[in-house]
Amino acid sequence: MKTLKNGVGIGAFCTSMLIVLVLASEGWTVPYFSRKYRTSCVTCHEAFPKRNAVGEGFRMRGFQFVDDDVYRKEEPVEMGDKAYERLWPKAVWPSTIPSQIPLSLIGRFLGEVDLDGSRDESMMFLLPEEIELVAADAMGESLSFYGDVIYISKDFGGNDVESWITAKAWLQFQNLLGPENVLNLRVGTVGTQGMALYTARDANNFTTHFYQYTTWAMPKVNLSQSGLADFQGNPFTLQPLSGIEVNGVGKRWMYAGGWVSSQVKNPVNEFPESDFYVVGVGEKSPQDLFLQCAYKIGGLPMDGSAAKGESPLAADPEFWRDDHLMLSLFGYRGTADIEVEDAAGLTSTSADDFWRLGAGVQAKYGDLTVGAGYMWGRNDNPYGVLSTNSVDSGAWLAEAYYFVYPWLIPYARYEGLTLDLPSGVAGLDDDQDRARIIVGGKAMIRANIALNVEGTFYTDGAEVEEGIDGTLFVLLSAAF
Amino acid sequence: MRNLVYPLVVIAAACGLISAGFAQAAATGSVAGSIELHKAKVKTHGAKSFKDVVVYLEPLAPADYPPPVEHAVMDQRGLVFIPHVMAIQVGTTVDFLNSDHDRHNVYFLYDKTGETLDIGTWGPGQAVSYTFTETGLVITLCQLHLEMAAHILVLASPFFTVAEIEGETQRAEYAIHSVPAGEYVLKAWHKKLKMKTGDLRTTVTAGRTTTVDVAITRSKYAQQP
Repeated sequence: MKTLKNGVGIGAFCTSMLIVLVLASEGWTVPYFSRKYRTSCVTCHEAFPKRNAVGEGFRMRGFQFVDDDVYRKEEPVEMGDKAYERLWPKAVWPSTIPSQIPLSLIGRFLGEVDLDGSRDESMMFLLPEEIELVAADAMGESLSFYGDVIYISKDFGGNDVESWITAKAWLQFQNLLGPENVLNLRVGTVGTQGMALYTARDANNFTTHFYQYTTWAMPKVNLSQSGLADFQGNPFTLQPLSGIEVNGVGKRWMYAGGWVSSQVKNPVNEFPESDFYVVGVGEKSPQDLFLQCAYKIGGLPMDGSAAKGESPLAADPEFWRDDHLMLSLFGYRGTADIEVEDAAGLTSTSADDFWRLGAGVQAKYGDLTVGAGYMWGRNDNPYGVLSTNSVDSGAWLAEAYYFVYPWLIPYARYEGLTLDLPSGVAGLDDDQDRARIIVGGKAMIRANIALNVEGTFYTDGAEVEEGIDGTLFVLLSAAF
Repeated sequence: MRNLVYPLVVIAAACGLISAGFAQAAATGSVAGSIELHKAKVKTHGAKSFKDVVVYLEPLAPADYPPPVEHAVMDQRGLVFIPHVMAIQVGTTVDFLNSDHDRHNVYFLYDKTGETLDIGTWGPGQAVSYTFTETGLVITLCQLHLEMAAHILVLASPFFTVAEIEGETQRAEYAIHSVPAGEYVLKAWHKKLKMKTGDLRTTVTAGRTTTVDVAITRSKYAQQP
């Protein structure tokens, strides 16, 4: 593995850095649950990793169904009978651990075809592009956990291939207070599902590309053009961070809120400083807050409770259908340190307070799902002493997918970003707006093997995200 | 003449006993029926399954029933209490066996009061007896093996049975025999589910079987007492 550590390297690659994150993945397919419940992937997924209503309810209940004991075919090992809850504090609070090692393996194999001749190589193979080792399960009714280790190999838009390994982990305490599922506490890598609009999440998506609104970061200053020795900007993206999260779910609503630090050691949109790192670990103590909430009108309950009949697993013969309208809101308030080191070695540090506020909507009717979202942002001082201007941003998306067959799902997304960047800052291009169309299809070769064929076409700012415009991505994913 | 007296006395005595037996049999009846699960499904296999339902009768008129002389037996084998659910009449002595190669403990948690009682820890092949003198549910634990648990339902009367829900049909049949004619309240206990209708008033008629079908369901669907 190759590592780029110095500021010059980062500055020189400032445009292609954005390529890193567009395919960065997150292990949110857990085939172990198929083994545990002896059920197909489609019980919980429309087409993995995209979950259906049953899968979302299962996830938000801490990897448990309602009446979970009825559904699981593999009994967990009890660390104490439930009766010991009544004996606490004279006894240890009971829990369980999985009877089998709760591991899943996901492999992603990517081929890239240059359609417009803009790349040096007309075809690139990343075989594999990712290998994900995922561990997740409930530990009794009051605990759940998730962890993954992912080998990642990226080519930065058809350039040199870089490889590294990431890790994420969280532990969640269920049902701390009040009615069931209303207050859960998560520690570790939080925001894995919460750091975005609930109706448009990277970890619950059909496309091979993450959303633009979750992955863009404030553009950096090009060191060689600016004459600066170093520039450490605001690395914030709407991606998982380490911290503490509270979340809860009811029949028609959900929320997740967290206390995190966006000043991370290895931002997802930059080359990592080491070959192995834990995603979202902050360089300073948490001082940022985020809140996500959603409300669902119609369809199956969000908390996985039974609706039609009494079994959440038998709600609808078409596992992907769930007619509903869902509204979502998201807000983030953070502070990042901006460091500017001039050629003489003099360093200036200032704070960049920033906000993100967004709203989304998703409508599902029969075989068709449509969605849209908008995320407004303001950074008070993202360029420190280089500019006193604040920067406003607006990221938007519109998307649709349709089940032609239970195994064939064409999709399209149109998304863009506008940035009100200051002019006159040396080394900073003040026009970095971008917009793109992603069009493709997902074919479920088997319930646990998927093939994505997807093209990306920019209508604006193709040069900002170099190497993606006019490219065909063919991704084969297998989970077992 | 004297030789004839003895046989006549014996015959008369035998007739008396037989008629008394008939009279007693004629004075009792049975209660039987089905147990259905309403909006619920339970797991019926495994060491701590949910298959057991205790159905019992409480007489409306207070009465004393002598406790049985025979001991009930609960074993600890393979780190499991066997049986997982036991119903006994108050005053019954239960022998707690240890059929494992490990030490075991028996620790009671009285459901009604939350009080606890540790009756001891003993080794392989040994047994400890305990007489239950109060009615109610006693959750039985082993403090050496925290996953082990059993439920002992201590009842005032001897009119009870433990029915088993069948896995595929999710239903059970029960029957309680030799119940003196009279008025009773029929109750069902399950470790997870409640009676949908609440307690059922039941009349037992001598020489007949009264049919009472029972539905058990989740607490939220059950009629509150």
